[in-house]
Amino acid sequence: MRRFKQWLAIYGDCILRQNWETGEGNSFGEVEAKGLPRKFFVGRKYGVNLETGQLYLAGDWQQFADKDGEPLKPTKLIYHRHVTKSINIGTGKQTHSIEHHVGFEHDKGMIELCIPDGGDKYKICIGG
Amino acid sequence: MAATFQFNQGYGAGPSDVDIGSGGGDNEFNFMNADITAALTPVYTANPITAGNCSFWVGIRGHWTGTFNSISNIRVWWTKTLTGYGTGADITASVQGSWPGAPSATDTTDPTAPTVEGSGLQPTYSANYCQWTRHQLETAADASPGDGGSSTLNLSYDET
Repeated sequence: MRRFKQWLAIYGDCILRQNWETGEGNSFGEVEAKGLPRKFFVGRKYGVNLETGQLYLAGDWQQFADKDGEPLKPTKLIYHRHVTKSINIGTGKQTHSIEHHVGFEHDKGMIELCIPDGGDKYKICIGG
Repeated sequence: MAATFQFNQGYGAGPSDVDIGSGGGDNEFNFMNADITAALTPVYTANPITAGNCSFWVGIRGHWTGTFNSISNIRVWWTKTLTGYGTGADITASVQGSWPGAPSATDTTDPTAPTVEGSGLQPTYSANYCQWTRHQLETAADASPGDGGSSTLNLSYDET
């Protein structure tokens, strides 16, 4: 079984890249600055394998394919937090919501997991 | 760490600007017949909009601090509750490439403010802020006295 050292995990409001063997990790803000390895990203609950086009969800790796049955071929990692901030002008009350997006673009579109912050549920968003 | 966000309001001709707190109450972003100061005063209750007139327009932008790589895909839209402001009352909004001078009650003639994220205003991000967005409440002659409906301004963005 092939082992990979890097993984991308979602913890609350940040994404952490850690080394499985050493336990060393980098904050969300440092990931891009250090360069993103293309090979393998897996979270505690959700993740993406950029080599195979698999997404990790519901405790297992699942392969996604196009309408002809060909596995999707990732071309670019998708990872960002989508944040919505609101202010009520009558009360001054401010609220916010956060959704994590992890997935990949491929030659025919994109596929990603959309995960509410701190939630156990997700939805799969498909484009293209 | 993730970015820290605050709504930022401009005032005066310059403009000067101030982050809007989260404490609630009168000293917050609102539509009224006056511009604000650094202390987010005066308050709207002391500067009511006369029925049939526009509020002073309000300049709002996003302000990000802390650790992050990028901010993009910014959208600004309203959840409008216009009860009490009269027939045909509306909130208008636009993105401003630069600060358009001191706020006033002159009708900006901006288009009606979007009400869904997908068609929201799209100010661009640069150096911890996004472009200014200008907002104005237009009341009608048959507006009711007292407080009207309480609308909500929304701003969304992608962060990496």
